[in-house]
Amino acid sequence: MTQEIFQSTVYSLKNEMFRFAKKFLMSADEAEDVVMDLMMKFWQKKEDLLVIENLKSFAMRSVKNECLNRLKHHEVKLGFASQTKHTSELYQIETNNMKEQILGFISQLPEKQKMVIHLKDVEEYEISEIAGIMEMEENAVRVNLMRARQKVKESINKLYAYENRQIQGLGI
Amino acid sequence: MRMKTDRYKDWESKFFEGEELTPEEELFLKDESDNPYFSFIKEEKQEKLNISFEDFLKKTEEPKIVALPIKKTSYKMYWMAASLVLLMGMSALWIFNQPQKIETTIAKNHDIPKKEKVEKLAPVEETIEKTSTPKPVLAKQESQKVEKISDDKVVKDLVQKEVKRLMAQQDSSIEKEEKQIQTPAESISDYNPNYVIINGKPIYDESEAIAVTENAFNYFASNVTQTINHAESAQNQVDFNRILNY
Repeated sequence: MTQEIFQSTVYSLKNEMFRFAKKFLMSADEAEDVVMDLMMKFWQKKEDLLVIENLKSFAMRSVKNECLNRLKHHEVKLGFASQTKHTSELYQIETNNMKEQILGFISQLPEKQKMVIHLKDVEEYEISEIAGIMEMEENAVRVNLMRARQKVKESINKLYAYENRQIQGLGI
Repeated sequence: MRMKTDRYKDWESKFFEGEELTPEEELFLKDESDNPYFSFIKEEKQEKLNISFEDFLKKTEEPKIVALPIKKTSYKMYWMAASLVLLMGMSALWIFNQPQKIETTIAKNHDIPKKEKVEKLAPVEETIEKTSTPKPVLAKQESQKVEKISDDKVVKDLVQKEVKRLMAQQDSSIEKEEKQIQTPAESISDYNPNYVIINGKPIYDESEAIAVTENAFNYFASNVTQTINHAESAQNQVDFNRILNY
């Protein structure tokens, strides 16, 4: 595998891998480390990658496994805890940053729902591809996707209702 | 416009129910929907990892420095080896010292009867020597000595037989003593009605004990008579010298 082929087939996946890793680890630095480590490994074994049919799925599955390994690490766990605390505090201080709010809702989802909603809505993967990456049945992916979207929608509606009450309260 | 809004609401509800939409429907929702979730999705996708391929290649060329763990076990290994050698040395000393002690005790036990043997055999040999090479003093005395020699030969044979028997007995008693050393619960000094100790040797047969006692007395008697005879011959010699001088 030449440098050009590696760049076009493997290294082009770095952004997707980074976003996916960030969803797991809740840290941009940790996510960057994971992606660069994996890229180094892929580079060292670039000849073996020629055999793999779906490189995209393989790369995302590698990210998932690497992130799960790192999540066992104590420091990452502590970072995750502080992040969740941070997001809950954000909700309480009534920030208007909707992106952070929705990010908080997604981060509070169960692990599988969080990954499925990210891969489907952000990365626009097919259900079959997500099933391959997450090593799940396609129906299980659909169920997880539905539940995740419903929870996000409910949380957004609740947030709107809360803000409306606050605005009405201020108007009185 | 209203139809468009209704259709968009329908797609949105389908979307949040988890149903799959066509790429065009999804694209429309992302572009047109006022739901903040779709704008969040668009923003999320803008996030990128800003590391160029050239920088990545430079990183691959850099030698990776791996910090080797400090070998703390080396000192432990030294201590383990030293203690092992010490233990082996101590065990070797203990093992090689045990049989030596037993051997020395056995040797001591062997020495004691040997001394007794020498003490006992010495007078016998002396008597044999004295009797075998008598000094002729007088013809009269020589005739007496011939008789004595013949008597002594008989005694000598008896003594030799007795000595051999005692030697065999002593060997058997040494073996018994060795056994007693191995089993220290029993000792010779303890009283045993099955044998009689004569000259430090246990004799089990009564008649044998009587014979040994008789022989011992015979030796004593022969020694006494021999001494007396020597004294008489010396006196006779002195008297004979006196007569010659006169």
